[in-house]
Amino acid sequence: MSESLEASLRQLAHDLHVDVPADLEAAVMARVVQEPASRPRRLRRWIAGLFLALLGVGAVATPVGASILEWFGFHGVLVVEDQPPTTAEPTVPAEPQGLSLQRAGTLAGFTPLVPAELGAPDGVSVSADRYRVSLSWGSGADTVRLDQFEGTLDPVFWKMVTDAQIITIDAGDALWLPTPHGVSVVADDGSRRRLAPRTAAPTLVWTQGDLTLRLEGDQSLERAIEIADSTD
Amino acid sequence: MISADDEAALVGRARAGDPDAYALLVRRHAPMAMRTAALLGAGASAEDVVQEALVKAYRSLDGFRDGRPFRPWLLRIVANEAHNVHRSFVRRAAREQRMIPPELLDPAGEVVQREDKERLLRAVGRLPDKLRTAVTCRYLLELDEAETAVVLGVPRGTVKSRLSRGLERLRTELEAVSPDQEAGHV
Repeated sequence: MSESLEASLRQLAHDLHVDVPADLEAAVMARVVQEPASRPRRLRRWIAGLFLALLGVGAVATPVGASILEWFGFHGVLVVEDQPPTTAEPTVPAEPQGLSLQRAGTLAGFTPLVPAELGAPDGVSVSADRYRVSLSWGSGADTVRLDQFEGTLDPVFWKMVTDAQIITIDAGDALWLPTPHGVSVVADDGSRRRLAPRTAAPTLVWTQGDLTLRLEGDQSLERAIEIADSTD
Repeated sequence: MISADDEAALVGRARAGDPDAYALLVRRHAPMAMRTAALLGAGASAEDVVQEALVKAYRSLDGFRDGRPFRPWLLRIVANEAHNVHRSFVRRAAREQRMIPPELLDPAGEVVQREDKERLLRAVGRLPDKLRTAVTCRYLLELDEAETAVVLGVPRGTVKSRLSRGLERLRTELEAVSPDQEAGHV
């Protein structure tokens, strides 16, 4: 069986039949013609621009470890080496209350994931460009936040770290940034401007489906993995 | 055979607001879209999932990058939609329910082979989500690794590792579970 498993799967594929409903095309087209052609979406391809910006602010644009391509695997998060290491006290901003998860999902166009370990979030927000959903739990020094967005190659966060490690969680590879590090968020209006950098608490970054998730809080790697693995 | 140029031209026309061009794209890709939805676990909602995905794809045509293949881009929208539906009504507790329905199997096959195939199908369905979707895309939907990476929205390296872990797990499971034991499981 074992050496022919792939062959068995392919054979299985040939034996699986899925019919196309007769009225599918008509149903789709009836809905499509009712609306104007797709709304324009900004192209967000400014990796090169960000690199230049990095050089401009004096950061050394050396990817930590392996190749830069690997980091781009964590869509939307660009990691560069920082010199010298950040010493400032990390802050984890909480999100305001009032927005429902469902509404946030409608605005952003994807269903935000919520880790079962953390339960319903205390705060929910959607960035002005409707690209990123941020959830937070707790307040003050205990705040844990989870930012998520649909993955593209375009950096949304970029981080300056001195140590980072690739670990494996249920969702696959994840990037663990154990020490306080600088983090900049690309401006909500999609311009190349960066928001003022802040010092971030330990962070775990991973991708799940087509979302990139970034979990930040003053917690251990074990706890971060527990939370990440409960996200489904 | 559909050429890439032809496809790009259709996308261009559809984006410019030509419904006939989009209808043609729908017709071409509907079979694979339905297959993707059904095999990724949309079950009875496959038709709704595909309809929703095709409407969403139309709305997002501007986000489609010229020069990229259209099929994986579209299937990714289908896969996301299937995943959303799946998540809304099937929770962890009901994992067993979301397997690929064996009714999709060609009834003409020999009985002995059919048992093996159903067993394999159930084993795939029992894989953890990440491994299941990778194995399904690569082997049951017969996408290549690059397409699988696009459809699942993960790096290619992740696809490779999920595939090898998925196959490994299938081997272990198929060797460990005899048909007799499995009867009680289902």
